[in-house]
Amino acid sequence: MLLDFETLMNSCAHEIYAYLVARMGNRFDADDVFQSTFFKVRHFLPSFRGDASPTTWVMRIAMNEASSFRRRKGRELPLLTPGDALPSLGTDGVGYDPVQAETVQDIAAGMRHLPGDLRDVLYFYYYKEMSYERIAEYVGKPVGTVKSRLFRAKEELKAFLEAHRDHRTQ
Amino acid sequence: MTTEHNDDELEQLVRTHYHATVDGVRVPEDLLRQVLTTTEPQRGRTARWAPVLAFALAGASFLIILGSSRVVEVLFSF
Repeated sequence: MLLDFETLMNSCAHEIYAYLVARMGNRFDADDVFQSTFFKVRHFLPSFRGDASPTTWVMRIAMNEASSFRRRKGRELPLLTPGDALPSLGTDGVGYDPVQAETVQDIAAGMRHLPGDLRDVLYFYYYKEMSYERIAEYVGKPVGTVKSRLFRAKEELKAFLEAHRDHRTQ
Repeated sequence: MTTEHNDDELEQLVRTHYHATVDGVRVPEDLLRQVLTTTEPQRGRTARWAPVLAFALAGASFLIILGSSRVVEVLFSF
């Protein structure tokens, strides 16, 4: 399959970047992984056989790069400082729920404690609203594994939120 | 296609988190340009010899330590 690098990049760059921002938790690391992802894409493009769609192929490379980057650095920085994740306050003050805002901050903190593979399925399921089958294709695992990862991710987040709620009420 | 999206509190919060974090995120123009115009950084020509060199140094160190100890003396005495 002959693919032009620039065309491929233009077709999926924003989608990959958005995934990396969510995955890495900050834009500095997302920039680094974005670069290394597309260096790999350029390098391996001649051997791309078209087994998966080009976007799926690039996304898989991005997922691998994100995992190796995290292993190399051994840490992830938060994208948002406390308060940034708060839902925006309308001019009339409507639409702002401080209790929910506090919990959304906790969710952001909980996300940072999740392993990458669990974070991936949460992102694809809840943000990209993909089916289990599509996620399975992306992560290269059976549908059952996707379901169990989603379950584990939610359980871990619930436990994190509970712990924080208890801590606040003490 | 199987999708089960329940509207419980946690799922709603996860969605809110993602919308706050990712909505409207675009690749910075300079990053796009950089990736399009820059080629992958090449490893130095000597990089492939690094493991060989490390192994040779480790071997040499071992031989020096062995030679300077009494082990060789004891072995040759038999």
